[in-house]
Amino acid sequence: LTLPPGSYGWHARCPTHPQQQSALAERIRSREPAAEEELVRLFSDRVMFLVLARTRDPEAARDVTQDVMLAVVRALREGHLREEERLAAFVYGTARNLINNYLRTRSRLPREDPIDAGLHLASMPDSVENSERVALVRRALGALDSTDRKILLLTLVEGLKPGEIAVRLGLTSEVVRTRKSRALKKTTERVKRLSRR
Amino acid sequence: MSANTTNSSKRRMDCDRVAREEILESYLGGRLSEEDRDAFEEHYFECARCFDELQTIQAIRGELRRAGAEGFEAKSTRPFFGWVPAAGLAAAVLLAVGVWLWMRPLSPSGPPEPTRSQPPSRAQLPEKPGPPGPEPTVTPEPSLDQLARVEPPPYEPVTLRGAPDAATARFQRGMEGYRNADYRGAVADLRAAAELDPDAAHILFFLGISHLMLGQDNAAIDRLRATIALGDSAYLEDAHLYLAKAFLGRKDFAAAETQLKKLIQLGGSSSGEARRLLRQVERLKKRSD
Repeated sequence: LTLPPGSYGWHARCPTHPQQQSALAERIRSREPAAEEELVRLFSDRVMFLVLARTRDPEAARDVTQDVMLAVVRALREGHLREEERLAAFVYGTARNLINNYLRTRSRLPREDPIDAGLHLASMPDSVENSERVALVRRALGALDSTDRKILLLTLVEGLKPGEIAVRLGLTSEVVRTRKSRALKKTTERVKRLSRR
Repeated sequence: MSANTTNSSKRRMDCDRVAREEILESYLGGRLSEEDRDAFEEHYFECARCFDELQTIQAIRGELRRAGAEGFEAKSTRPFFGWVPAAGLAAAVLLAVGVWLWMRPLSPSGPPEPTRSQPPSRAQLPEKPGPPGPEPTVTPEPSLDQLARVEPPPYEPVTLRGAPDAATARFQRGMEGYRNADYRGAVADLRAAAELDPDAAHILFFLGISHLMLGQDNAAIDRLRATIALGDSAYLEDAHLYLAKAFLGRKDFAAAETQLKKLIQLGGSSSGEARRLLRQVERLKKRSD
């Protein structure tokens, strides 16, 4: 099973409604190739993110993602999914099982470790969409006040609490908390707005 | 996309709870309990909004880690740098410094003008600020040709898994030519890519730049205008800047000024650069009147 470009697109949508999930599962059971591609397009980025979060291993992420999508497609082709309206939960469950299988074969279990931002970005599949997201994030961060950027850095990268950041920056905890929330919201909303073109 | 709820876990997970309890940050920081982590993961498999925000916050973490809090100066926020890995960025910075040395005005007490070779085509990076201190009154202003020169924004290819779609394949081929300064070849492929995907800002932008590098100002203007017409994209600011350069190439000061003013109005990372260029254009226009 080949993951097509755009599989990991940030505009990928999930079939939210049970009927949509059921319809997609049914189309795959009917061996409709376009439906299989749609499944991969809709879920592979989520599976990849999940595997990276659990394993922190880019190589494993690619392989396990491939295995998950293959297992899901096979199961759907054979009609093994009983509750077709819960397709997303089935994909998630399959991914979790295969990740656990993978982790059992490894000597260490890094499940308690936070996701490494640099590792994740370096290992996410390259695509025009991911490049654009990073470019837009960079642009949105550039528009922030430098103190707000420091607060985000200390919070998101260094994992410091508002009280610790407050001491470093000579602010109160409440101000740090407020500025962090606003800066994060402002940045994500700006990225969202820019991405809509 | 409406808010989603995932009920299968013990504690209900929905978009409101994700926002209220800062679940995204806690998930990325590995601070969720196993139960909440599972519930959130199941949730984002069905919720486009939360997954989109999760990816964006992860990208924010990555960029902050890469650049630090102070690493978002105007140049580093230029959208095309999103395509450039560290080595490419370093090369671009070196090139910018080199061109600044070449372009910088002579100071009466300064060193003699460095020996230089003429850059290819209409190459010139946007003006860099000069060293601090009062400007000598005898500083020579850049000529129109100098202001109109452009340096093609660097591009590094991305690797896609699987077979690319037709538009992406043509774009990739075109950008191969672009990287090798084969702008004629790039135009042919990028034009084909644009026909396949007419709403792709990255294709139109680099097609416009390729035309510009060939001195095909009219075609460049059309493509850059089309990039702008798509609305707010990662290429919007650069499209205005290069469009201004294209108009300068045609000695159309008014149109160039309009583009620079629009760029300033955007209030983005290129607005300082646009202000400098606008001042230079205005002075040049006065001199030529």
